[in-house]
Amino acid sequence: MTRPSRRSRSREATAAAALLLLATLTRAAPAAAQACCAGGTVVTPTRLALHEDLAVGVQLRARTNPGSFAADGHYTNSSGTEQIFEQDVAASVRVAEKGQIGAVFPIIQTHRNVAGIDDWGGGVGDVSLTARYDFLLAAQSLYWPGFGVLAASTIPTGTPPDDLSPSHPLAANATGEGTYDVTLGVDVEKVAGHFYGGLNGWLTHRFARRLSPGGGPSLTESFSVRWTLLAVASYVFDSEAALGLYVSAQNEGPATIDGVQDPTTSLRLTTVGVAGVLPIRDVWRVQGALFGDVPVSSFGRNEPAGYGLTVALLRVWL
Amino acid sequence: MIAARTRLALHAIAALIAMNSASAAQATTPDISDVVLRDDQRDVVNLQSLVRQHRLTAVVFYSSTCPCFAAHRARLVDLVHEMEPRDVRFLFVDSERHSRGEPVSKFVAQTSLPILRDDNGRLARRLAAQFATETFVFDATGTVRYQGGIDDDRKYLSQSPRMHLRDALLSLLSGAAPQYPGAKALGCALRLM
Repeated sequence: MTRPSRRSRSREATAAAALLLLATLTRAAPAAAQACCAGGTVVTPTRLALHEDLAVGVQLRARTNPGSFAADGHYTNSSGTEQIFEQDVAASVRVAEKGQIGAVFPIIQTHRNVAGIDDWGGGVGDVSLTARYDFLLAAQSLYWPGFGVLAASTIPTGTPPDDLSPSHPLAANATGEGTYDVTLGVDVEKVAGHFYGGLNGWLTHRFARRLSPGGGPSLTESFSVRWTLLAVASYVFDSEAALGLYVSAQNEGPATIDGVQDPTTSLRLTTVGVAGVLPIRDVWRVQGALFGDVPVSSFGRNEPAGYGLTVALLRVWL
Repeated sequence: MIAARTRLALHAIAALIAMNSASAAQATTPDISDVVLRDDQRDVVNLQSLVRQHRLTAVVFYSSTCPCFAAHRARLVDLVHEMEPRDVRFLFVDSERHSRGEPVSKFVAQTSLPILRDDNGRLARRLAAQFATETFVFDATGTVRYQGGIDDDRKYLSQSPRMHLRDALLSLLSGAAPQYPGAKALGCALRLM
């Protein structure tokens, strides 16, 4: 089993945001060939739809990682097990007619078992702050797609994976990145009848950090820019319930340790999933997703691979 | 300290929402002298002349594909029946691009409400209308006395909604200003492009 890198924690957080966001995306295309709500965002779990001023939600997320990708992209099944259970509290508020900001507060529990060693840990994860501005809503034009810009930042409030503890030999207490990051992206989306399609792309820069693995001499680690793509297609029923498919891919170049680039540290992961949303009246919605990382060599690199589900309940205020 | 911070945060959120929810509530007199609408027989009617003929004229923006408008159909019919005897004229206006090739009679059959076609979305652009169900109430001088939604429901109709448009009409008929002259319109985005 691959020991979780701080990058994999980042990937977890990004995937969690993307999955919950995805359910929001699928809600975007309303019934009767008209869009009540705009598209989605890759970094805002509680994306506000048209007319919504405030949203507060809780998300439960569980995943298991039965395999991992090596540095050369080769996929292998693991001899051990890893389960991650996460609860997020998220909120978004509208600050302009087409602008919104949000925050995600995660609490993470991890269980790892490798070669007879059982490790349980968890705690508060990294807090994420998000922002979005829609220049054109998906339903605002008959022909032109909706277009929005996305921004986000992660605050390292969690425990980094290199914060080793004798009581956690498998680093199950890791809940965060250990550094700040900033993300900028774009979202293009379109509604056509009952169908909705969206494409998001964003770049993430993580700031360099100092670490002292195992209490040894401190090192400075800096990171390459990570790019992520998320594509989604969904069908929206007359009730405004929706079901969608999505695929996401992300890639990050090699990290640099004390000024020396390490070519074995590149990251890559490809994930597919199905997500749905069920609106309840105009102010509640239940969202869920089933997802899995593509367990095929070269579809990942230096990442654990697994599958899981999310369930979320959101309350919105118009 | 935490309670104080929480209160401060809630006040900040409320302020942001209030700032964002505020619509153009000030009375304006847009130039509608050249705005013409077409009825089912393709006859052209001048909006300004229609407005001058009635004590109040409510221009309600319509969308044939908006579930929010469809949900409000019965409430609108009731409101029309209640207000027309008081010299309040309702005009349901279709400004959307995708419906321009369709016969208005189709919409009339669907809604039992008379629909007027706003070619090229001229009226919607002139009034800066953005959403289906968004309503502009003109007095006989052509001044907009109310701009906003029908009520505080979107698609799901609650049992005891705030009937913003009805309240505004009653206030204006009694000679008073509407309590909420810029209530939020909760319909679909109008497709004008």
